[in-house]
Amino acid sequence: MLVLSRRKGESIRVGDDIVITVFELGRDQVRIGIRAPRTTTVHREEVYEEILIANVAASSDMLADLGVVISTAHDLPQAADQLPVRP
Amino acid sequence: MQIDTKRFGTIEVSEENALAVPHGIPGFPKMRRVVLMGAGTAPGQDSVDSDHTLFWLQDLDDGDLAFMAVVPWGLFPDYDLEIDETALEIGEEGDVRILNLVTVRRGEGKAELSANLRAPIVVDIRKQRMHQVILRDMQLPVSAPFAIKSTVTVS
Repeated sequence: MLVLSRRKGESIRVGDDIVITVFELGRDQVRIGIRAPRTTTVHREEVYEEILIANVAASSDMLADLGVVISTAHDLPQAADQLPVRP
Repeated sequence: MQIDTKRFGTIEVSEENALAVPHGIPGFPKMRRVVLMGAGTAPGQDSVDSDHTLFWLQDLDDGDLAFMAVVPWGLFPDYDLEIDETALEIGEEGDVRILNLVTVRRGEGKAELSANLRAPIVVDIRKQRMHQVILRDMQLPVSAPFAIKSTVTVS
């Protein structure tokens, strides 16, 4: 891991189009600004982690037991445009 | 193409039904192609006019990997979400369909099904791509229960 020291107002550039700026320094907290292309996702790590854990739970073999809960019956693979539209 | 799956045996998937997953999803960065298979209706979704409101999302490169997903409309009438179409390179709002991944938790004699409303699956039906978007709205639950089913012990 690269570790850098920065003062308030100073920035770090990641790649060609991401800039991370230190806005405010508190006692045990910093406010950080991130400028990135709209297609780059930016999340607090704990939020991302929460979704990752939920995805792993959704994929787990608990679903394999679904046979007794929901039928694993399924239709043939289908095109996505068959998905219901928001009413 | 033929895909050997753990849950459904060998399935025949036509290329035109495959959905690309450009970035994978959190925890599954290698998931790059999936297909949807209808799996019936979730309880309480009579209002949604469709053959299926539950779907399997089967990974096309890893036969062991499948997710269950649910159409949220009808189950969660107050579910509001804002999708940034530009960020996802979606051409028109009308190209968007929404699904939510389902988690099953088993208790004694029952199983609770819940949907992840915080990180919906956004399907672009024109480009045939799928993304999982983590919404900014912290009020949206990662685990929103929508059905409790009795489990049958198979002996």
